[in-house]
Amino acid sequence: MPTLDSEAIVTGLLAAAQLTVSPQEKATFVKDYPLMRSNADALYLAELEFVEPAVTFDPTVYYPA
Amino acid sequence: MSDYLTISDALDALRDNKITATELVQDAFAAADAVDSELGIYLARFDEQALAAAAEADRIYAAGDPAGALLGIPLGIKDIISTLEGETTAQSLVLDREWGAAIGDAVVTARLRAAGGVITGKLTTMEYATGVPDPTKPFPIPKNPWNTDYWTGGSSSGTGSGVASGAILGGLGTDTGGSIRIPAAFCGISGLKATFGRVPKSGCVPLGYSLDNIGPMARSARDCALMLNVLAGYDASDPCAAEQPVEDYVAGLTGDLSGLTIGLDRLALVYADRDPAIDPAIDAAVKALTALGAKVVDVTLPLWDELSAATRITSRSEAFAYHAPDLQSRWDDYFEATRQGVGAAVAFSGADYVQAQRVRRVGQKALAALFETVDLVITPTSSVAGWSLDELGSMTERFLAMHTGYFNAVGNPALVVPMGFNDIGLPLSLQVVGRPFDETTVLRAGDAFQRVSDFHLAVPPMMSSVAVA
Amino acid sequence: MHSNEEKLAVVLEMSGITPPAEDQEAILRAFSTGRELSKLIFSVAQARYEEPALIFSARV
Repeated sequence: MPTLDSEAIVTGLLAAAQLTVSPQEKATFVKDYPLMRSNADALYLAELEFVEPAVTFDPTVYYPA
Repeated sequence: MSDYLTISDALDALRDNKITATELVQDAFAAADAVDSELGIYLARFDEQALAAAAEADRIYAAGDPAGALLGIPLGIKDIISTLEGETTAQSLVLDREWGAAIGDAVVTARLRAAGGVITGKLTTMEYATGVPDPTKPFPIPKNPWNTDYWTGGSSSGTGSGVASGAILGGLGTDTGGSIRIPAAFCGISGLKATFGRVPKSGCVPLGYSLDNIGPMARSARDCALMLNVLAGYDASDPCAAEQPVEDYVAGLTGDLSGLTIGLDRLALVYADRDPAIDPAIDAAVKALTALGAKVVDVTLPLWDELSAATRITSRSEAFAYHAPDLQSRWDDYFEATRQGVGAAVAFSGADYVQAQRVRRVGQKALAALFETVDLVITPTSSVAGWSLDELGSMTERFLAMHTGYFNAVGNPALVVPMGFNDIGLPLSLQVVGRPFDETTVLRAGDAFQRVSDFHLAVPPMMSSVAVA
Repeated sequence: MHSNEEKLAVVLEMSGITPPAEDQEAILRAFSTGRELSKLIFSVAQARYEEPALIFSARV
């Protein structure tokens, strides 16, 4: 059960990121936060459980071929 | 405006001695002189260096050995891409000017120069290639030559208005979620986001490391092909550059679409306030493509909402990693839209970023499966023909109306070409998408469409009274 | 100024995670260490203009 509202969450996130914003800009962040969060949450699809990311790491890149 | 609207026509005229490179560049500067204070095309002009380069091009033409593919053509560079001349500012008070000074010419700038291109100056952009204009900051506000109450679109704003107004014949833009395609669409010109990794992006200020593309903007698909021939190809300075052979994209412009199957996704339900002129324009484009030999079928692009979200999460998170120190110490020096857009990345966790990359992989596979049934996909580039400067609205709404970010998530090449006008004379645009590294087929379709239509040659009314030099 | 405890409550809420009371202290210690690690990686001057090591490929 959620215990913090968008205002509290955004306040905390901005503080964690060390960003100092105006009250109006914070209000914009608070207003936009639920949609942004729901967009991100919507990506956790069940069928992706075993899928690799599209960005990959190559340990050989700075070694001669 | 100059008699020569396209790079192709200008090259023919230069080779036939109908015009000199010096005259061509002077015409371009005359157009810029007439309208730049209103349209906000340039941040910096390099008149002296450009005229010297034009004079050198004329010497080469006179000697009878014009080897450079873009010899004598006036070209502008979006000011997030580094050049030898002047500063690179990213249209920001924040960017350390030493960064660009240390680089000199980006790889793409050097390639244009080596091909004989005349670099005329640095073009306006949205700050750090994201967001919308901020009238409180000391930079020009880019305006659409078709209606100066309207925004050019961004972020490659000056490139869009520069080509549309004849101030340049071609230029470089960048595209992380649509920043070549949207200003090309709104300004009624052509623009190409090539396959991710096709064009080296070293020497360009990053917005989204795994999404950024540098690409050509010009009046025609043929001009974009000419420029891509010069720009494309591996360079070790860019870890994302693909070691993929470069084709002759101009040789592929056969004008014939026989045997091609094109999937159409109208994206009709993506944005509620869709311009009613879009669907009739799409219908006319489909008719033209069919007459050119293509078979057009209806398709549905997979995971539209999810991949569009993945682009936003990826770009915000990647941009935030780059900007975090400066956002912490110089918040007010940023444009309002930039800091709010990039700062919104605080809403996303590291796991969200990784998850977005998993969605991208699933999306790539699903789109590859679609491309087993079609050779190209077409969509409207945007559900709107633009926004007035007074009503730019929220970033979220703008993302919904623009049908571009999806293709950054998957990395496929996407070309936009003009396809008509709405009821107040603003351009409408068609997006043509292909398989990875199949720019040849994408450009062939765009060029073939432009052989039977003339939207790409239309001149904004404000330019018809501008005299050449 | 927000404490790590307050920030942690926020990110747990954002992530939809509700650890039991007996885990809170350990998670808070790990979170605080994590914030220090984040500060550390942002302090690497040579990384300021560096590309990430993870590369995207358009070919799948």
